[in-house]
Amino acid sequence: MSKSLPEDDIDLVQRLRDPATCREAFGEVINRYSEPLYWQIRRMINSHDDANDLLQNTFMKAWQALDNFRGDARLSTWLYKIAINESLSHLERERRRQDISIDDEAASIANTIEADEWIDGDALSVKLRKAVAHLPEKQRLVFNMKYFDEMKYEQMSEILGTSVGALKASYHLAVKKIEQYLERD
Amino acid sequence: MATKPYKNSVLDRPGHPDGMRVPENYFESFARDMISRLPENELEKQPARLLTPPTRWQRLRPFVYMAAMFAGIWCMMNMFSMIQKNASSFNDTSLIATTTPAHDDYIIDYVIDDYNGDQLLDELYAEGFSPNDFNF
Repeated sequence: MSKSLPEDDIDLVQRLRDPATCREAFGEVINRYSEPLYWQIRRMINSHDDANDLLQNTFMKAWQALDNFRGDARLSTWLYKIAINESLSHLERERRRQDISIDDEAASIANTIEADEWIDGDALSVKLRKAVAHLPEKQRLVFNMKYFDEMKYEQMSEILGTSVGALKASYHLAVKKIEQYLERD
Repeated sequence: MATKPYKNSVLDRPGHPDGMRVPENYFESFARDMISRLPENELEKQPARLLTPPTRWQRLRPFVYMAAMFAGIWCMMNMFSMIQKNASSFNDTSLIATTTPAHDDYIIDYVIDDYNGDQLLDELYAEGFSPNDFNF
């Protein structure tokens, strides 16, 4: 097990790997990570109902694959990876279902943002969400993690499997695109 | 929370609001429902397998396999030793075969073949042999 893991994470992982305590420990995992994972999914998907389904899938997959989790990586990193895979697969499925290209996806997401009852009426926030929707998938992920979740580049690097330098560049580019979009719109 | 000085004021808003919200007590009820719906996973199935007492054969199996392995090695070593012994005895025989013909008695007894039947009879008669002594 990695020495860089937080102390409470080490204890939780040990209990997760014990058949007698894994269910109870996984309950703690759900309580601890459902909120950050939900927001990560929701910011990619935008729809609350879809985010709720994908969050359930994320935890169900993690639960079923628990005996494969070696504890080498942070628990949160492992869960984020599953959540992001679920989100990207969902977006891909939606593109195929609606028969739209990746370039036309922003318009579809903008419609979702306007139709979702769980987005408040703050016009500036909606405008920002629409601007983020125009970013390519990977940049959207980087922007959401850094801007909204205020995640460290090192953890983002572990989750996305991209170098810190590349992530910084990607974030810088994403911010520039959003600023251009906001000025133009 | 320290905010970065973005060019656009929308990005510079404190708290970085995203305008998204969830139903009331959503996370509490989600966690409760999720925990209650977790099926039995592979890890949980393990204790049942571990608690089943192993059979006598399961306990003895490693020792039997090890004994069989040593017996096999012993047999193999014996076989090699027999093969080596046979090979050396064959060499001894061939040594006898090559040296024996050089011995004088062997040559007289088995190799020289000029001792004909008439000579043998003459010698026998000279020693007092009579054909009537035998009942043919």
